[in-house]
Amino acid sequence: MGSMKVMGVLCREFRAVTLASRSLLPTTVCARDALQQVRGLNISHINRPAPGDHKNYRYKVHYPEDGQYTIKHLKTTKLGGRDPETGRIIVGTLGGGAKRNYRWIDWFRYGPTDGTFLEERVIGILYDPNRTARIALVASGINMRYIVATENMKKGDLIRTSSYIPRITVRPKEGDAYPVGALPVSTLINCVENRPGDGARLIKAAGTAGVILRKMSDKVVVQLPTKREVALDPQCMVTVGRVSNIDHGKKHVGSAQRRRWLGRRPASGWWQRKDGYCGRKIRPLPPIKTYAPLQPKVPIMTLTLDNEGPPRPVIPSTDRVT
Amino acid sequence: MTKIEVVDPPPQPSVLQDWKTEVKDTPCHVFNKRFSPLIGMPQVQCLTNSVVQSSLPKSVLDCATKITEEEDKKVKEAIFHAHLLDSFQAKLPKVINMDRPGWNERREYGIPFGRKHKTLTYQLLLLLDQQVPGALERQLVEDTLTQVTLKHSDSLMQINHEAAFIVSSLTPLPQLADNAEIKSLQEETLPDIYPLSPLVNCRAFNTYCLKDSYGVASNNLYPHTIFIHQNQSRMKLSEDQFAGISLLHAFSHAAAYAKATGSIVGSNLEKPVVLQVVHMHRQYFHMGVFQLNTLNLTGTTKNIFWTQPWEPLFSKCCFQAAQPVLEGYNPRVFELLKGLHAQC
Repeated sequence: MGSMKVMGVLCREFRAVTLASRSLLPTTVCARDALQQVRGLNISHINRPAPGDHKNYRYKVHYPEDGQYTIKHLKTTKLGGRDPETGRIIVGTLGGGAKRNYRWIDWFRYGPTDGTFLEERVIGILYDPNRTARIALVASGINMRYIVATENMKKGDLIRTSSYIPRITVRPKEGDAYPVGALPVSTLINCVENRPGDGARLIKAAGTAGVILRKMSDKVVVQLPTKREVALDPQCMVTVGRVSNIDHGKKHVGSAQRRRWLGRRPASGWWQRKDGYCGRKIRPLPPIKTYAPLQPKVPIMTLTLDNEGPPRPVIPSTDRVT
Repeated sequence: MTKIEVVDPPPQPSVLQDWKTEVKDTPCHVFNKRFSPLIGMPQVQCLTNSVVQSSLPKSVLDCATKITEEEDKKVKEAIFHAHLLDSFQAKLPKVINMDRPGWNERREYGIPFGRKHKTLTYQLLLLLDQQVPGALERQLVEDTLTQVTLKHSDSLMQINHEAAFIVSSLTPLPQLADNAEIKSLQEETLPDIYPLSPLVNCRAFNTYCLKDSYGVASNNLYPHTIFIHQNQSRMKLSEDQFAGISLLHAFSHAAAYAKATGSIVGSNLEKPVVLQVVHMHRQYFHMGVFQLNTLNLTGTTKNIFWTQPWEPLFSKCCFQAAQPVLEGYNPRVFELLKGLHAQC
């Protein structure tokens, strides 16, 4: 194969080399960091899935085969706290509960960059079992999509989207989406992008809102609902207003049975209220977080040795929660 | 030993052999019976380039005279025969009670909605034929498929509709709005559905069949009335959407007929096609009269649809203490049907 020549140049010492890479062309030059080396049996740290890593261990969505966006409800299979690849339980308190169909939310609210707007009409505010916020079905032209609804959004509203940053800040209107650099200071915002082009990742829960605190020459500082401050690229898209369903936080689950219907298994009763260990901590704010811009995905080249290595595959130990 | 001859069942009416779908380059928006207009009548108006008048035409209302007690009695009998006094038993669809989610109701056996609608329509047509002279010469076709492909601005659209009954006559229905009126309607503007397009809620696909066909395959028959049945127990359409679907069905049949037989100069029809539509769901009857003047869906010449809000035939028809009971009977529905049937 053509790629074997490149491999021969880089790895002359290895006698039997198997190349497993789908995204390399014969003429590609491999970056140094793209090589993953797993040497020896002493594996001190493995990147394993853990309960707090913000991954979805509740359900797996069956997206359509052609990958085209659709507003049809998608089927899901429940994972029950398990990692979809290894099948091991990562979060022990997830499992059971009512079936939920997935509504594919469009997190990418982009508009024209020439000063005009993309106008959409709100067709209806709907319930989504997969999130605390309500969702809005909006349509423009022949395209229909779901977005997270804001507090005062109602059927028949016209919402605007624009990716243009004018010299003078825009007058913010609830439900509209603008780059964070186009909005004035002290605007309430939600569905915030970390990096331009990555889609909304912050402030999506019911009733939450962030605040634009101050603007610097090349960054805009936004305060998240946890009071943590974040410095964003002015091109990051945000939606104006508070997320819908503001009374969600005041409601109680009500019973252990209802907690099970919501897909939560019994948790440990160890947490004690007033002993000082689990209580409120008074700490200074962590430093302002800055996000590096999106890096293009470097194709990973995996080289394996056939002649050397352990006689049987090594399974790293995991902390199983039972 | 007697010889047993095995005969194949007759072919299903909804399967047509040479209607094969093929993958094409240009996508086409296909409207079928499952389409529901997102914003109701205004969207269908923009789609079919039609103006909606708020009442049925004068000729229909003049013929909608009061019915005698005997006729009333016969209509009530027809309702009983369709909804209650039928010994046909089929498993009915599941009943979902939103007040008790997750509770599986007992599965009922009874008359399916398609059969109820068919029996009722057929019985009413028999009664109407006795009322109106000259109606016996009309032809009735059951379960038809109509397909018509048209251009809407830059997109290709195709309407694929079924009709439960098509009543065709040997003479065409007279033109209701004369050329002067059609010209005066050119200044009327269609409702504004900004920022939506009339083709919203209808996805474009690359796999379709480009054949045009009208439900009745005869050059000597002119369309008179089409009956459309919604055969679901629970209908998620609002009244506005229901009316929009009646208009869309009327348009598709008129356009298919015009393309099959009529002479079209440019996109305007030399002789406008007039037909009537009766759209039914359970006890609700929505009636309308449609005049197709043009197939140019973005031009100034408009098509015209005369209609009125839907009328319930009754409010309750069920067995109570083993007796058939009919409550809230509305004689106006049969009067209007008589008015429509009397047109020739």
